[in-house]
Amino acid sequence: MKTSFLLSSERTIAQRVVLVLVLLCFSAVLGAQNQNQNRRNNMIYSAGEIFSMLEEQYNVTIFYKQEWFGSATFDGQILSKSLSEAVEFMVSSFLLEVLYFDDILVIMPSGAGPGVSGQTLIDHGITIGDPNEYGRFSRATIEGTISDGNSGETLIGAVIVDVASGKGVTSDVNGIFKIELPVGDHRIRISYIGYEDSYHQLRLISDGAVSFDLFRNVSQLEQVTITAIRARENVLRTQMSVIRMDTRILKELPQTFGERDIVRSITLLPGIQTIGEFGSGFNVRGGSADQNLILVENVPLFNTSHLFGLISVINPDMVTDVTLMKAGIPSKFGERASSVMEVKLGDGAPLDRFKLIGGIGIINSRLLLQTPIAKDKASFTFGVRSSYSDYLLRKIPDEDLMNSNAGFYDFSTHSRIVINKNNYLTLFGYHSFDRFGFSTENQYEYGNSMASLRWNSFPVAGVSHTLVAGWSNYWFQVDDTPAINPYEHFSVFSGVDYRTLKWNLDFDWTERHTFTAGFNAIGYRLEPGQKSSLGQSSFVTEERIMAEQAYEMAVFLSDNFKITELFVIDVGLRFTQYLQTGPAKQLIYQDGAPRTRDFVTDSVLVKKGEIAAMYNGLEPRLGFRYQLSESSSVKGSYNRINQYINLVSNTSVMSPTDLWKLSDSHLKPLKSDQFALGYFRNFRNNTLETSVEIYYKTLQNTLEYRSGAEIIMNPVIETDLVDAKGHNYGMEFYVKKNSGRLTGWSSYTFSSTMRRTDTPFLSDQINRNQWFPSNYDRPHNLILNANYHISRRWRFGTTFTYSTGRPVTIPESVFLIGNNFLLHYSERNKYRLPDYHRLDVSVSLGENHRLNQRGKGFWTFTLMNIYGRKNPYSVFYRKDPASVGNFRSFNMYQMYIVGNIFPTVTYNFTI
Amino acid sequence: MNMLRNLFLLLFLLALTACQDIYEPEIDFDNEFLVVEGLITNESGPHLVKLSRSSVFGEPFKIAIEQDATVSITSDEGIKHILLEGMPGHYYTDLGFVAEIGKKYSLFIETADGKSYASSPQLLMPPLVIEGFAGEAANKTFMRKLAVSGNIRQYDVPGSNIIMKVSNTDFVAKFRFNNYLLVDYVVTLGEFAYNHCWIRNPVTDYMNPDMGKNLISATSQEHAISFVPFSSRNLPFMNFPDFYMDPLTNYSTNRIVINYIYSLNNDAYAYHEARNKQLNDEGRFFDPISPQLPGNVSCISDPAEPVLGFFEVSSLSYKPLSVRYMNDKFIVESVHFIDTIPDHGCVYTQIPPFFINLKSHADSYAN
Repeated sequence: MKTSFLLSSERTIAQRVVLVLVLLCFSAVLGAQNQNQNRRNNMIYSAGEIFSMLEEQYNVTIFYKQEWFGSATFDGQILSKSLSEAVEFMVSSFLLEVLYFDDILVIMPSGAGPGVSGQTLIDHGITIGDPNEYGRFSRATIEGTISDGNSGETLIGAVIVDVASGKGVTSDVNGIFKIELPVGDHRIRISYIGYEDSYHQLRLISDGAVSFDLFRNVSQLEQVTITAIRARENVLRTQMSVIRMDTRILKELPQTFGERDIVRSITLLPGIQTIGEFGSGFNVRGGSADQNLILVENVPLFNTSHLFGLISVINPDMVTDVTLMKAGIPSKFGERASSVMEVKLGDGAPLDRFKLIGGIGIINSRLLLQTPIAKDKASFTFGVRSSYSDYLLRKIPDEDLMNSNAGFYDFSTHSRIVINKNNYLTLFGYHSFDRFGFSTENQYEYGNSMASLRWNSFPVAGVSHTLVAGWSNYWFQVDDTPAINPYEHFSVFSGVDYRTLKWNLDFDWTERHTFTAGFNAIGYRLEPGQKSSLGQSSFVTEERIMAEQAYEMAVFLSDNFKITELFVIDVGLRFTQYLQTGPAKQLIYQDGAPRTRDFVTDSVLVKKGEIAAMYNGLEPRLGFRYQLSESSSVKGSYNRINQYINLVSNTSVMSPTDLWKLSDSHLKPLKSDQFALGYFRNFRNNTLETSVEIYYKTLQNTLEYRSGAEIIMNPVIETDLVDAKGHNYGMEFYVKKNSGRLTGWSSYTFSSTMRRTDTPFLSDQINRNQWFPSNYDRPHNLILNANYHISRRWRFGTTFTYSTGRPVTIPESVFLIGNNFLLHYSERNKYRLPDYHRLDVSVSLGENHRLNQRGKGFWTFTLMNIYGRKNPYSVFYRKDPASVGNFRSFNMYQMYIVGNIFPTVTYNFTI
Repeated sequence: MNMLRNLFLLLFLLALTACQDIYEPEIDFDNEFLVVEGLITNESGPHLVKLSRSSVFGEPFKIAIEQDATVSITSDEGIKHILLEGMPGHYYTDLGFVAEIGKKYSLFIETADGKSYASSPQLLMPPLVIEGFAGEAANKTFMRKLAVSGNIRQYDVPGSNIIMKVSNTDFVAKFRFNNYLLVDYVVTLGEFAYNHCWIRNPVTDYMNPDMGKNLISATSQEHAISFVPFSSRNLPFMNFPDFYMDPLTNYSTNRIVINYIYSLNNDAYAYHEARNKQLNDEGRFFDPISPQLPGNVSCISDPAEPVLGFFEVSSLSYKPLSVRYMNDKFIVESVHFIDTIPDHGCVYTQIPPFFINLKSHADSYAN
């Protein structure tokens, strides 16, 4: 047990002091709020002042023109009304009306007729369709693109509303919108937060295309959160099991170590868990971490964690959009069996002004620079993070921790070059490095590197295509330097190199059909292991396991088919071909015998370029949505995915030294089939989203390790792995409140994740071929996450997490043979760690909203694990070193990362 | 500002310390499984099969002997040998029992509670063909727990590796070895009177503190199987008494290493390999989960009941060697040695026959 430098009673006092400080802080803030409110109610204000106070009070943004209200004044009593009552009361005397979009209120003239002051009427009449077809159709569809009028940058989530009927749509991720209206004259309003609204008079005759530009406005509030308005998106979207986080949601994510953590936040959503507290990676619906395709700017990320899982490798300031798909995965995605997570970076970079964002925390700091390169044509974003945890470790009065080290850094770059209105290029680069060592015996180092070049093109309305060339690389190195024997110091290196070229075409064929087609070519090269001596005294001989290489090619086609307005299906097909190529050495095992070294009968050397193994995979995808009402729908999906690269692990916790392994002639590709069904319903004007989803997933050719498997530097790793199959099923409940002062979500998941071997060979059987829980089986999972906006600047957040303890294999018996105590273990995963639960709270003091203030900053105070729960991260047994007079005694230990209340403070700034 | 910084530093350190605790899992069963520790060889008996019971992990270990069992060994020809309980839980073959190379043997046990157990048939492999031995200067690192502080300290000990050269065979030989070290010493009783004494200690574990080194499966023909300390001062590292403070008692510089080399079949090798891995597990953060030991005995009356331990059938090569240091070289010679002498003892005046050389007492501590 590590030595603590404070007695437990002192710790308790310290914890209480912090709690009291936090409570006092809240009391003071709330008290001040009440006093201010009473004083305000007795005063007279202008419309602008009232709107500012309402914005602060309800954490909403109100758009209006000051001149519409002239010099009118209002009694402060209006502030005691509800938001809608107050605003409706104010606009009722001025022939104005209010539109509500989540936490945005847009005030506009009633009827919005021509000639109303303040409107931007660009077009006095656009005819869409062939005039010769006038009267032929009753309804027609308008398609088009919404772009920034200065930069040409397409705008995601712009709102297009037919003023008369109120029907509206939003532009998609490519800035494209599609709206169906009755033929005839329409007045269309285009709006996007931070941009001047524009109105267009249209005469619609038949289907046609038109594009619009918007221009940045000068808002009453300069600081605007760019957000996509997504009301009912969860209900109307055909795809199910999708979690999307845009900039607004990302901004309110729970803080880990003082900064938003994309991967950590993902694990707070239904159906997604981690193997342990701060475990590396995450598990989606019972899948292992390697079954998640995490695409950062279209290239996969192989290791998601810094500091053995404390912080994720993705710089949160760079991220503008995150989408996670748990089921109904479109045919354009494949490669991994469980989920796809798309992370988009840097698209929010301004094309016209310089911006500096940063954060200073107690473990690490970060800095992000955004600057135009050519005004309105090209922008550049550069982000860097670095830790200084070594300094803290050296301060810890524990010999092992003092001699330990841990640190990381990462760089991210993103550039966007606008070629013209219909074409732009995106360049992305990333590099990270991690190191940590426990005492002086072992040093672990690993790193990720990624790069991509993307060309987006919109040649004609309704057609867009994307071409991406990408590269990703992951490596790790372990230095084993036991003090006991310098002659055996060694270093092991392993890595994976991934290159891809992908092309994707989206084509809106008709109102009812939207096609997506494309191809994806991937080249893998894996370095399974290189062992080298370390230090001059070492006698370790050099070893290198033969590299593996393979190609994966895929073509895909899908159709989003609107059968009726209510019933939409998404049907797709993906064909993959996998080729493992030489040079490779393949062992041949005796027929009818287990795949062990004892039954090797021969070996074959496959020459360079020759095919060592080939697999073809046909992956059907199907999804449907049936809309039950304006605010509810039923969705279903089925998908099959083949996975040709797996992470091999036999450690009790996910480790950076886990080895990537390609499918070969012995290890077949993992095949996953998932069925899912869900009911989605929104309440209270779409401000409350709810859903219930059930899923059933089968897995073939999952890899399980034999007892005592050697992963590192094993040239015949297939002899230590056995094939297994599995099934995962579960039910997920989700409630989300996405507007108002109190926002947040709650989810509960019941799930089961089971595995079994099916082999006649005793040596290959796990638990005698009986079903056993996988390492990721955590039947009950409850999440409560809430943000309360005390005022516009002060925000209180809290997150509570509960889940069943994960399965473990532990010793059940001890026995004596000769002079040695030996252990007999339970059946695989027979026991469970204690249940996991934790409560975190945070308080953010937001930035000042004064106009024209150049530099802005905000503070985040976080108290993690507020009641000091010691959630075990891992259980292992440790022996004392063998020595004369001290003969190998051992004990079980549980390791926890945050065993006490854990405070952090971070200062974030924007210049 | 400094105060604030220090407060957070303090709280951060508070949170990080004590990040591991002893874990006491709730084991949901209280079975005490049968433990088998048996070995028969191609040498003359008696051979021993020990039967005991395991303890529940986490509870105080208690030695539970399995008495009054009926134990027998049956060859693949159907010849049955009954073992007799010489001591509680210790079952012996008769003196004349010799296992034959190339035959398979199975162990049968019927315990006092009426349950039946049997091992899978175990093949007796031919003994290792050894061409010779040689000495090679080497240093070996030992760890010793200091009596006063309790700290573990590292020592580099000079000595000789014993290299064994085996014949090239058409199959990969699998073998393990156990070593004993016999050291003689003289206690001076008067000007012309000596007390000739000896101690024999098992040293396999001391010579292989990280375990796993007493098991070999390789096509290589030369293997380091043992280590002999050069200086008498270092003998305590191998659990020999320290005579440093006793001017009348001196170790000889000669050493006798007794090697027991066992040829293993596949089952036995897998068992010892897993055993060594388990013993070698130091519980580092990313270490693999320790392996389950693949036993070869099962319960016939209740197949789901685990049976721990192993019934080993291995051929034995018995090789006592004398190791001397002369003219900057280690001389390794085979000696004819009587295996039946006690582990320690003394003979007055007369030099025992296994005292291979009587060196000057004065140079005992020369190194």
